[in-house]
Amino acid sequence: MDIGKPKRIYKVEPLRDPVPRKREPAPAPRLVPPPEPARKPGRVGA
Amino acid sequence: MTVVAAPDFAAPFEAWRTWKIVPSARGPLLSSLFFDLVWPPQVAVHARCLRRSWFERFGLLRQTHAAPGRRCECGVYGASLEQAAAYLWHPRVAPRRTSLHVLGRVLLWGDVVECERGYRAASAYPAELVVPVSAVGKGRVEEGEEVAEGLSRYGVPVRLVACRTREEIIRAARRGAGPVAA
Repeated sequence: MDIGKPKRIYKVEPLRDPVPRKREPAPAPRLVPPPEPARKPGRVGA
Repeated sequence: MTVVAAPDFAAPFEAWRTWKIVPSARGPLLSSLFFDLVWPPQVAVHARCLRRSWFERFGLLRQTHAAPGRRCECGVYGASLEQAAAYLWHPRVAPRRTSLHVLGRVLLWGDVVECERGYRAASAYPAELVVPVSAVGKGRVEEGEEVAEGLSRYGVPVRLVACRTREEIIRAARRGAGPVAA
């Protein structure tokens, strides 16, 4: 790329990192177990 | 021309440049037009002088210099939007062009050599990518969409623009861009 002759050198020190932070991978969806069937009233568990 | 220890600027310079797209197993990557230099996603590119390697091969030069050297042509280049867009059709590229080319704003920092029509910098990272379709390279919309999606790994805005001419690309790129120093 023809950008011509140099004119001046600058020292550029960004306060913030110009590179975007790595995005954390989204957590894997957790498998939610189906609800247990409701027990019949009046019965005591064995 | 001297470099002083205290920084002159605390924010990166912005300019424009053109990349070619190279495929990889993990998706499309940005690459320099004229050198085998791939820009990995979310990693800054740091310039080194490639001319040094050429001279060293013949034992002509043993001294090294940090890029960008004032008397050299090394460094990561950035220029005006018009000039960068012109390289989408650069004759050195066009005859053997087989890949899609993209335009983008680039952040430049470290030692930055200001030149008459652009910059050469020590470090760089894209700030925004513009993927032109229908006119550049293979130019198919599907390919452009696929490339644009893959380029999202760079963590910067990616725009897909339909255009037929250089002027249309420049207009589209300028619409979405903030102020640029070059």
